[in-house]
Amino acid sequence: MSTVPQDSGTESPDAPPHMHQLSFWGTGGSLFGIHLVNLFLTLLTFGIYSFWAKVRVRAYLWSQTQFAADRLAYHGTGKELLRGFLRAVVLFGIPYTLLVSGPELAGADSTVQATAGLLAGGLVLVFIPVAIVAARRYRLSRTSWRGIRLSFRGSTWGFIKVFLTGMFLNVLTLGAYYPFFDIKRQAYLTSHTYVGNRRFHFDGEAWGLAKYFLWAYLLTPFTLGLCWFWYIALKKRYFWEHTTLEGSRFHLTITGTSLFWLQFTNLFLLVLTFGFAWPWVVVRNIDFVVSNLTLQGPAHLDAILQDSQAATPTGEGLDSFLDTGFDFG
Amino acid sequence: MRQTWQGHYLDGRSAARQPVTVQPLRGALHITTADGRTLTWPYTSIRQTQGAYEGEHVRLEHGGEISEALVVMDLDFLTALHKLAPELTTHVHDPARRAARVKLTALAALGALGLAMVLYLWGIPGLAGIVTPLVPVSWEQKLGRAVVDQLTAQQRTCQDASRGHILNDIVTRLTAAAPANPYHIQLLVLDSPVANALAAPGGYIIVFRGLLEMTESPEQLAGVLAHELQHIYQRHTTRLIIEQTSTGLLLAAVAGDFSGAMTYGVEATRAMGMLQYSRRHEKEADTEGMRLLMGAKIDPAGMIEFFELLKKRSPELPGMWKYVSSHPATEDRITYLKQLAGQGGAPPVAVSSNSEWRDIRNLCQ
Repeated sequence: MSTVPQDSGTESPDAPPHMHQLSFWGTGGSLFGIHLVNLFLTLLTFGIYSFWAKVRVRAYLWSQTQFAADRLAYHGTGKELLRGFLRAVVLFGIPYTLLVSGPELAGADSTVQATAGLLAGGLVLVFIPVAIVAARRYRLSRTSWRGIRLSFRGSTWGFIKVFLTGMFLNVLTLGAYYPFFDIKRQAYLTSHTYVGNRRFHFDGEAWGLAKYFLWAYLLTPFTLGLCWFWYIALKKRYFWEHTTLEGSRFHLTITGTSLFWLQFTNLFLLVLTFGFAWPWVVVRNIDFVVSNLTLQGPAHLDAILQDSQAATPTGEGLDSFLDTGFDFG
Repeated sequence: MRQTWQGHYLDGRSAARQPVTVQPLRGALHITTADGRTLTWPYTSIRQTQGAYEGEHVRLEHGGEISEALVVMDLDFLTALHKLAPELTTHVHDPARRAARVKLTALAALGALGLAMVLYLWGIPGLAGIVTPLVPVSWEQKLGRAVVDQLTAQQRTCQDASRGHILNDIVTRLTAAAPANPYHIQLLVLDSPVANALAAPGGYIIVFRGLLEMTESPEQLAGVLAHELQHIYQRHTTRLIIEQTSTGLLLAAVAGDFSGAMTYGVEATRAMGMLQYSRRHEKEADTEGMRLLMGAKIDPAGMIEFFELLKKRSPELPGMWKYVSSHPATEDRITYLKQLAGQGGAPPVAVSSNSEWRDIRNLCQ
């Protein structure tokens, strides 16, 4: 939550000429109010309103995020989310349930049940990358800055390959491959993201991260796992530091200590309020990353042009189904 | 009154912000750019997408999927629009109504609480009542069979044809007094010192040796069996599964998605909620069981005596603790059972002699 006086729309004249600071203006109180009304309408409609409720929350959070003198805008609709959910149920939910419960109910023997179980697991493994890509594609296409829509233009199949080979190598190396997988995944997702007709680029290398991953791994028993906060903050910084747009580079200034403190106080708040502090936790989490993020360099932001792309919202429904979250910092 | 405002115009084709002067007219907005171009946006064709919350700039959009936008810093702009053309700008946010929003939100919160209570107390049990009859008995039998298999794998069953027939006689008398149903009841006695009995869906009743040894007369066991039979007849396990699933779905819809976001407080609430449903089922098993007992002309005093025994054996923690119990408080159970028994019925017919019963209690030896 920021208490800085409201931005007048122009950058401060004292700031370096080529630095764009991101900021977040949302408050837990407003979000809580939105949640309460959403709760009422969701209960009244036996859950149907939950799709429109999500849109309301996102529209608020997006419109409180500011970059280079303009706020983000969210253009998604509840109807799109509902359709996406139904598609996810048909394409994934029903086949998965049939594979998991069908053989048992039909009285099939244990080999059939085991095969069906394996197929179900395989289905999940394929649909996770599908959901990640489709959700990203949808959300970015419904996000605009200065009226310019963002987009994701990577192919789903391309990401499935990255994801599955990564998972396979992870298992093979008992987790040692993870930082490499992380970088490859981030590289794919970032480098196929566009704002208008301009592309984001990612120039991170796995070896830069792997060294710290090894350190965190070794220090785990000595620090009771707390070293992972340091690693996660480092990783987030690394990802943003190696993301560029229009020849300018992002910078993130979070630390492991501040991350730990954030999560610790969030947990404390939630437990103390039986979960009612959730809107404040959401706001704090977003503010933590956004307010510490800047774009530095001679970015010719005004020269970015519109380049629209359609997106089907299937992934959206699947994403919430599988709880993979939105990969954006 | 102020006539013009300063703002920024985004044409939807590039990210360049063009400073403009905005003049609200009677039926439309008149926008003038720095190089003299003018745009006219009729009020009915504009959408307001931002500016309803504290600190937000007013953002108006115009056009189709990829739209043009106008951003004005000053909230007074909205007030001016409403003054100038109130009937055309009803879809635009009115800052004067912000105070009302807090009141409306509070009302919504109360409404949500009320709705949640209604759904919980009547909606979900009602839904379970509709769906339960649709569940095939064969599914229940599969589930029950799985429970029995697991229990009998750990303990042996006590079987003695010569003495065991009295137990089957009790079951036969009780099932004969029950209305027509598709369940084939099987009684099993497990060699375990636990003083408990349970009903597995589909028709299985399991009595543990500890409970058998605790009973002083056949009428007391009959009371327990009647209670367990009602769990099967009323399909309580199936009902509870449906109630659990729908409560989970409702809470997921409330929390926004299936993620564990709000499960901190929500899981505790759900557990408490499920216990309440469980207590309802137990009470139904008690009351319907008592009716079955009396219908089979077995002395209802036995069932009440058994609960008195239970009460002596495990004194309960008083007061609030009953809300975390899956069963109603024993004292309360005795009270309403006594009430039911007092309503009278046909004179009871004895099941067997007490000496025979002392013998049965040693079934497992």
